[in-house]
Amino acid sequence: MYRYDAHDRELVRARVRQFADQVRRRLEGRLDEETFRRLRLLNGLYLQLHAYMLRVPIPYGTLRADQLRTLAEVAERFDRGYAHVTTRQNVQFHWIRLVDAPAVLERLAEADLAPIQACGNSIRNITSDPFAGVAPDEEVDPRPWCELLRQFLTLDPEVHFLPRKFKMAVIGARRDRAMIRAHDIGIRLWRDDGRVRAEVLAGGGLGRTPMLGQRLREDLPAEELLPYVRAILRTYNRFGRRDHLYRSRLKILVHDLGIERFRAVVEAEYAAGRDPELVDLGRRELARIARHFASPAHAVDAAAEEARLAADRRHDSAFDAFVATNVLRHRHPGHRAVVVTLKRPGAVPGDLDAAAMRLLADLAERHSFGEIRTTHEQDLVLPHVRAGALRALWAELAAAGLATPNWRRATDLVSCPGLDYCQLATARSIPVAQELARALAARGLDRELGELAIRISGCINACGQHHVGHIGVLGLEKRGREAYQITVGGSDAEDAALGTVLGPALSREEIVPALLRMLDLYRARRRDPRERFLDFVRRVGPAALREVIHAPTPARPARDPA
Amino acid sequence: MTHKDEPAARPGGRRAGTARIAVAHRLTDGRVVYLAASGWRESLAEATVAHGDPEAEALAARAARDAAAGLVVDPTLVEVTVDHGLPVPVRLRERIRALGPTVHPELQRDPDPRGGRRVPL
Repeated sequence: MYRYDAHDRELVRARVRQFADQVRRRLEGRLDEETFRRLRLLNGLYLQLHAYMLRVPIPYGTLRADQLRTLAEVAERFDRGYAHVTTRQNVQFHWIRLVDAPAVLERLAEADLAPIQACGNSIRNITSDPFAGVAPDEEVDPRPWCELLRQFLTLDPEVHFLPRKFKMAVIGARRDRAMIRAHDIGIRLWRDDGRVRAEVLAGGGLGRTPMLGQRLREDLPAEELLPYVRAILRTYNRFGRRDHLYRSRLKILVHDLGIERFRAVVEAEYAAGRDPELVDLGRRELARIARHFASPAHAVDAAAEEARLAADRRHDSAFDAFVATNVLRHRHPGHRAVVVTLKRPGAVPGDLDAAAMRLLADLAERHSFGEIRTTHEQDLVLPHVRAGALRALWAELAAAGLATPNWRRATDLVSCPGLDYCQLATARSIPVAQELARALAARGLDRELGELAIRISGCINACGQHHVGHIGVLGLEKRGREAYQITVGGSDAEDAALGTVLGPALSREEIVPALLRMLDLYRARRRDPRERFLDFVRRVGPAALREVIHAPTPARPARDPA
Repeated sequence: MTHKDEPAARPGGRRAGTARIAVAHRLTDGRVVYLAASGWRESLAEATVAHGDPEAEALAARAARDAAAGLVVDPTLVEVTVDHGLPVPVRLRERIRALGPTVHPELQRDPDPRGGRRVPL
């Protein structure tokens, strides 16, 4: 994993000192709110519905055990004992006091964590495959490239005042586990006869106007990524709309110009602005950075590890169920990656208390070379666990309520904070997630429904990524009441697709029963149990589900008190 | 002026003739506070209720002065109904703001610590 060097540390410390001074001047009345708001947002500090919220980027979702312990300490000392994993692999604290913010940033900086560019019209956290360096199908480890881009694009004045926020994701496998087509720039690294190439996509994004990224380049030599990404950003800086909030994202520019014209402009900028020294610098830096990502030592007797795992699975059906859903193959024989879903049915998706953070940090140190990953599905991953140690790990997770066997199952549902926390939200999303997960768990449907991605957003900004859920739920406000619109057929994987809306929105009371009816219909009409819900929707078409969604709910109350 | 990521609160309390209270965030910790006779209070029950436009304008002016003085951030007027003397925000958003997140009952606050009156969701 990447570790800050002296330059990184000094840069972050200087930034903390600067922000501490800004906070002091604000509290002393020497900065007005309008001036200060921009400064605190540049440091990840939002003012949300109930309090200040601090967003801490977890670069490409990679976290060390000591960093997770630091987050636990921040949760206990400065917040209300918990943190929230977001859909962009970040961590958020919902109750930070402004007077404490400098101390929090100082403590985070000691652990090489910094909320720089966590907000504002800048390059946000570059996200990646949570199984980077682990997945057997990986062609190129994306993490060194993410770190190179992160360093290149951090505090660069040229990209600090973009027309709007800018999101990037990088993967190194055919399977897309980072939703690259839903990003302003998506990069898939691949290998061609030993040389690393990059497929570059641009113009993706969810929110008010969801669009999937389109291909700009299929086979860019990866060492050209710095000048090529800079050319895209310069094109965006020059032509992106600054006069209209809803038309300011890169996707709108790509859409308005058309991909061919956009590509022509980018290529011209790239040809004119390509600096050979930048390419050389990138090459040298990549070599330096890549040393941080050497695979941890895995000297084990793989056959013995596998034999132990097989015996443990035979011995314990609950453990076997966990391995079947939450444990993935590792590129190193005798090892596995373990997904810890933060989705016990009824829990708040993505929430994690300080005790759980400390336990996971301990387990990561004992079993996973001190590494943890965050995922865009609001889960955590312990990436390097010996197969023979899985049962001991599972037992400790289970004792803490962290071994729910539901990764990418119906109850592993994703939800933004919604109207329970968010200034922008129009409806609550977490209570819908909780009620649905409880209902599914009570019916024992997780295993039977198979792979199913349910995504819930509390407003049109789509932080819950409902557009790309196999089932998406969008919370709205209609005539003063919460209302929920259903989409089906979306996908966040390599077969990325935007869901289709199934008619008018439903009330809070109607939404969960409607979703359950839809799933009953799927179970009754699917070809066989191997046909996923997504494949079923693609086969029968969304219209087949519309009728069952809008069937009357017998128990509907006469009046909605909300 | 507001930032794109923090738009202005919706002007839910601008309707003429309705009862309104002033809500804001305390600068030092961001907590939700209500303008009362004795200053900004965490308790919704203590909020001063403005009946009619002249009272609402006076309340807004006090809130704006306190924001300019750096006591609070983003003051807004919100529409309420008065139930047994307790101002109850009309919009769900403001009721959640008064109570705290509905998904963490242990973190919710009592809008009327002395009187025991409840804010229905």
